[in-house]
Amino acid sequence: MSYPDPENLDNHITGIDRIIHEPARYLIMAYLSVAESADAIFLQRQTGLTWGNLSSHLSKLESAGYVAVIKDYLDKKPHTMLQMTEKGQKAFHNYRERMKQALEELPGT
Amino acid sequence: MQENIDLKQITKKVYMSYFQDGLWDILLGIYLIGWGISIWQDLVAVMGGMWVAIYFAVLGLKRVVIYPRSGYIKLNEARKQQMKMVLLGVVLLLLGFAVFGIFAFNTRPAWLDDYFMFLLITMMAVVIAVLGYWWRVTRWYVYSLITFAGAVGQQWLNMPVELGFFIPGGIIVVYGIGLFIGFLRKYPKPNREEQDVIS
Repeated sequence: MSYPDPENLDNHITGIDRIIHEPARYLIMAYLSVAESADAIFLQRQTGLTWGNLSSHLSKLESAGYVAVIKDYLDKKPHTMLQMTEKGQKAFHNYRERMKQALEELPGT
Repeated sequence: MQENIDLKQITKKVYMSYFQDGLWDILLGIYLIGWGISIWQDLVAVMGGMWVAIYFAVLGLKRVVIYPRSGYIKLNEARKQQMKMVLLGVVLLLLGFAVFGIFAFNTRPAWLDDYFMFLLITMMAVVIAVLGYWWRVTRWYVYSLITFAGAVGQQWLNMPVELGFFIPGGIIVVYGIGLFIGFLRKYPKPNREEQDVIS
């Protein structure tokens, strides 16, 4: 039986992005990762978060530079859309990789 | 929770959100009913005009009724291209059927006479199944079977030909309307204050 290297496991766990390591924010990032952009109604409908929660989590993601609010047009009318930034895409990808590695290195997995 | 969130599932859910309102189902049902009317009343042109009108009505309803309730998403470029190609394919297939129908009514060979409508409806059933596969909307497989049942019914159960279109078309429209009503109930239009929380 092989045991995990505790140093590696520590590195992977302590290096986890705490902004994304919150189920609601992870869910928002996951939805934005599969789209070019989406509006708040779409995110609210898909995630099932309350409007207040969605707003609070979006603010945190925006402050971290992971999500950007963009002004787009829908039928020639201004429409607010949300888009994952390049920084957000990298952070999301790294988070998933780290989580995968950390889980793989846990004993008994 | 994290490990349960599969990006493929999310992509599928996002993609499926295009079909949850039942409008494409209603369009398909009306298309079949249009065929039935055109055969029943011998007005082939009606079908084409009706389908184009309904198609634009669906697009209009999407913008006016659906997006304010379910929200709006812009797909990734690759997905968008794929979606456009599928829609183009659908339009071409439907137009192809219309053209085939118009010409074949007068020029089909004698041996085809007995099975012409059966083959035509069966081909439609196959196309519906292919669309279900492309769009990953499993209920369209059931629509395909219902349409095929219409083909069998008008061929071997002495059912009038137009009923071979009306019955499957009617069932699909009714189910589509059910989905549409369900969608409207599930997603009421968010009020201004709720949306203002975000913007």
